[in-house]
Amino acid sequence: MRLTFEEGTLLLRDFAEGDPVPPAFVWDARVDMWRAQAHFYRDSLDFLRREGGCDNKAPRYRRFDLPQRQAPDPHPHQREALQGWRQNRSRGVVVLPTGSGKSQVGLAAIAATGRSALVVAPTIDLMNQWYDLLTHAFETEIGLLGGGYHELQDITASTYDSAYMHMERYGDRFGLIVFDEVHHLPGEMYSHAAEMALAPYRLGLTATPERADGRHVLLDSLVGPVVYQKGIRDLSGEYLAEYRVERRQVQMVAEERATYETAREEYQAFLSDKNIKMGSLKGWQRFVQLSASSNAGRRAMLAYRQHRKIALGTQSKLRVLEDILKAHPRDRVLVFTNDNETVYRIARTFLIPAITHQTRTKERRQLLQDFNAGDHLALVTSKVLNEGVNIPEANVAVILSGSATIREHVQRLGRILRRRAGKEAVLYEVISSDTVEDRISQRRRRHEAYADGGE
Amino acid sequence: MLTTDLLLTRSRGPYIEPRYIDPNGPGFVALAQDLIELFAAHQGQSRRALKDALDRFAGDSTDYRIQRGLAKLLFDDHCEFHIAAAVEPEQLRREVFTLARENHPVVQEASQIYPVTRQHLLEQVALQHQISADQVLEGLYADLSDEHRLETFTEPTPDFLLNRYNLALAQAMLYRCTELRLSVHRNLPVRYKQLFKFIKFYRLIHAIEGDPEAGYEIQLDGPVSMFRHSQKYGLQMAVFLPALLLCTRWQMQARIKRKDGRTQEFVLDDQADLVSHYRDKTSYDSLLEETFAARFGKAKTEWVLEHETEIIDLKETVMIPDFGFRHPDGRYALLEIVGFWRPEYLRRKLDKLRRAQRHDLIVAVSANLNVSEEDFAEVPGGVFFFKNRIQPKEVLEHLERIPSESGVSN
Repeated sequence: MRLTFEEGTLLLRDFAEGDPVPPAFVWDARVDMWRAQAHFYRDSLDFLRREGGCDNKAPRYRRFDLPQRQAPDPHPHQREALQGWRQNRSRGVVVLPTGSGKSQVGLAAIAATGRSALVVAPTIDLMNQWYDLLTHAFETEIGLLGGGYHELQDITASTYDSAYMHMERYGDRFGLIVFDEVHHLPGEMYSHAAEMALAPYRLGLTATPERADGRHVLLDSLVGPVVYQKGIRDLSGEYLAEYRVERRQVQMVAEERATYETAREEYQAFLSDKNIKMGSLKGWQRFVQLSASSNAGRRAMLAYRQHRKIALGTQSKLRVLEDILKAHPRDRVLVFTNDNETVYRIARTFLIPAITHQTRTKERRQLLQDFNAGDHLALVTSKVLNEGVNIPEANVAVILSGSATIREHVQRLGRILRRRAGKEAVLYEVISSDTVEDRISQRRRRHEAYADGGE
Repeated sequence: MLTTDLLLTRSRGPYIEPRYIDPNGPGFVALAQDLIELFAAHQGQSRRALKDALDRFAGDSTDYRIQRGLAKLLFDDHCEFHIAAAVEPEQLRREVFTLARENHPVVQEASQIYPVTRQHLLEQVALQHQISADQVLEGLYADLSDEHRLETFTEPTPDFLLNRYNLALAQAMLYRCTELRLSVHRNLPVRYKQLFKFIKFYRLIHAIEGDPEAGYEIQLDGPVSMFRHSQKYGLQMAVFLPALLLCTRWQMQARIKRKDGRTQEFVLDDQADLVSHYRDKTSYDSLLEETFAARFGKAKTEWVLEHETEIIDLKETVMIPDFGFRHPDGRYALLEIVGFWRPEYLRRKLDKLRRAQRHDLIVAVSANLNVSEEDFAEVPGGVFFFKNRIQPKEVLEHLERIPSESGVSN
């Protein structure tokens, strides 16, 4: 009996009647063979070995001995995390706050496992970030899969998108997969990336494992159980920089306020006319529905978007930003804003470099390096930098506008929480007073991170 | 192709279908014409300017999603954009930001502490390139997609655009498809071959039931489909659809998974008003076959040559013989022509013939090929070699050896 890997699945070939078949396998009449999802490889192999073995042609990953060079002494929480993971047969999820050195746990896991490894990250920025970390940590060529690159090596960095696209072809090439920001993995599409790989060793890293859709329960079978967990409270002060939060309220300029009010009146008149209550998801869905079926509805929707856009991007905010930049002439300032249009407006107004999803890989990496080296003192960015991009030198963050999702905010905070001796970080939140944005901000501050480090 | 947000659907009980538009409806023809003219009028302008114009054109219209869909197709298939900049944008950024770094923070208005303003810096860079400060600002991000200029726009006819839109709707429907069932009936071998070529090309897996009389049921999905209703192959099915449209007699049933988890059926058949943009090879595979068919037609025999043949399921692949032969007494046989093949194809063809194990399959092999009778030792049906053309006489000799109880192997 021969075990092979085909297009994200395992096939049993050349079997005889009465041969033992592992429980994960199902008869596939389309090709007249037994087939199983690739991620059952380890259990199936254990089963086949107990039953007398098989000709195992499935894995194509390599074993290697690659010590980590210049590995920093791990913090206790990093050492414990790695231990917990290895005790669970090198499968499972490690939960640590942003800024606590999750990536170091990943690097140590790669060195300890000694099998071809793939690191999967949510964005191209993070893939590049891992590429830098891996190049620095191991004396070997690092592969890239994603962002226009398509080269596999013993250690390869990728994105969830590319892993989803290509795993049916390369699912036999990795012994270990490290899923960074693993809460992305259980999505309908991305979960294929875990299921189509036979990697017997799997590590998930995240600060926030929970998902609003509840699908995080799938992590158990895709990667393994939570093997180690520490919250921001457990580590704050000790390993993370101290920080304070400053809120700046701004008033819209007169003509903005006038347009804002007109737009607001228009859509609210429509809502009350149709008896829609906006506080709930249902109300919102009904608004979307009605807005597509009449001209008045369509106008109300456009007015709604306009009033929101004004509140989030008021010109007064740019004035406040200038004040903040003046107050921190020697600090490293990161400016976050919600939409790309505002990002480029700020870049053109203050002549500071912008990073969005449209920024090309090489330029992006150069900008981050220059920022860390002090060749740029400020960067403006939209959501792309949300998760864990390593900018150790940043000590001032300005949130110029943002959405209310808690995860986004924690990770933005994490950016300036990188541990550095004697560094006090400041987080500015600039919001338009007496607008829709006020409410977003209130929701945002409910998260524990504020309760701990804030005001 | 359309994005899912541009897909408009209509549900009827267990069925779901795209909201097709009438390509001859005067309203839509006028709309398509207006959009095409709008694009044409924006040659030389930025993508952003074109997008803004489209938004203004849409106004408070409720069919803005149809407009966006049509515009998407125009953007993707008929436009060429390029970067317009006096100075290479990345170079310009480096200069501007480096200068700004030296004068950090950059202020809008001069004061005693900050005598140098943004305008000063822009003018300094402008001077070096002999352009204006405004041009520096404009050129700073000229490489962003929204800043690209529309260089050429190849105008489609409204009719072409509207038909393309309907097909794109049907394709977008299949993005969420977890299982595709086809019924095909009495199509020409070339069409079947074409169909399976596309099935293979898009890496779909088939399961076939049926026979040439009753037609075939083909189920299409991918390797993991048996474990979860996966939309992983939806995109492959979407690009496959135009190939299906090239068949003459078919029905399609697609299981569509909705966002809320419910499933619905999307059905199509050869009566659908959809126009494929894939190239069709309707004629014979080769002159060799065409000549043979013509000569056989003149031969004195009760055997009738049929252009529709059987699909022999070899599980991971299929074999579609070139001709079928039917005798009034009920006998039936197939002919496979092994003509001009490169070695790799020849090896696979031989493998298929051996695996098919069909006694009623006659094989005509070109004498120019580097194969001998020995290679066909395990092929059970009649085998003969031909030089330049296939003689009906030789085929007939083999046909006469077909026993009256023929059919599936043994």
